[in-house]
Amino acid sequence: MSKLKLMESRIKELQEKYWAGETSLAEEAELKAYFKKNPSLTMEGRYWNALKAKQTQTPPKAFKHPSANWRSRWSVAAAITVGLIAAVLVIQDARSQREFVVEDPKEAYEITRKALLMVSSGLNEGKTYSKEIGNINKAKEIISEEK
Amino acid sequence: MKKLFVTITILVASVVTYAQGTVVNKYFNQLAGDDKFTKVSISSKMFSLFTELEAGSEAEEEFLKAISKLKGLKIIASDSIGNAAKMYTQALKDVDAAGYDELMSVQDAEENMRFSIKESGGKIEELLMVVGGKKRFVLLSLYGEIDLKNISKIAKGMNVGGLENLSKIDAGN
Repeated sequence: MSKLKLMESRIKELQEKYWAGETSLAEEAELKAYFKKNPSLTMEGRYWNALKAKQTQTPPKAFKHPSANWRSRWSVAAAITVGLIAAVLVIQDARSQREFVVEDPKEAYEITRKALLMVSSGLNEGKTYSKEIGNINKAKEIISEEK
Repeated sequence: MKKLFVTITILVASVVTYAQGTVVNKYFNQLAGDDKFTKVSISSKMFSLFTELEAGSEAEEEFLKAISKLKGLKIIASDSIGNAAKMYTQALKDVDAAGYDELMSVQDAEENMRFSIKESGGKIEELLMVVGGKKRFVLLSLYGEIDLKNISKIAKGMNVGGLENLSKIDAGN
């Protein structure tokens, strides 16, 4: 038996004797010294310990109406469905377009050059048109002024 | 509930980001099996490769400058379809429905052409070009950071005009 257990059983014995009014003065002093050394073992100490434990205890979960629980489950399910649909669409789209991706840099460069040239000349054509229209408007103004 | 809201917001945001190039993607999917159309897609990875190239001439330098901030190019084109005019009209409807802003339209006896853009924070992030002729239909989408000034300089630098260049594009598919 360990020293601590031995001490505990001795104290228990002494306590029983004490409540029976059979302890000697020396034994009472022994008890007093023991509880002075271990205040947490006294009735008072136990009370404070229990209170402390209550304070640190996390409060139980707030009451939740069962329907609210279901609602959140439904919305989670809906979100997952939307996510899945979006993922499928994205994957499908990516797959259908992968086959048209130009892998050869030289070819890609040439295509980009031609495409941008086309866009560029288109933009310039538009600009020329707007200039011409501007000229027509100017001409109209001049004519109306002359009138 | 808050978590759900955040999830939905993220989902919507990712779909919106993905929606870049919606019109051209739609046509890619629609015409995937149609051999009459040439379909080309150039990835952002390829564009990042281009930035490492060295310019040989001034015109080329201008070109590399214009494409330095691009992230993608997609083209669907055909020179031999009967319903080109109808496709052009439908494409314009789709472009409008997808929320693009019209930049300019050019119409002449042979062809119609329209440029539309999608802006974000004052910057053009996508330029769409739709061309419709008698037998010709082109839908081109450029995305990334687009500088119209730089792009319009390209043709001037190379002294080339006209739209016939596209017919020379052959992606090999």
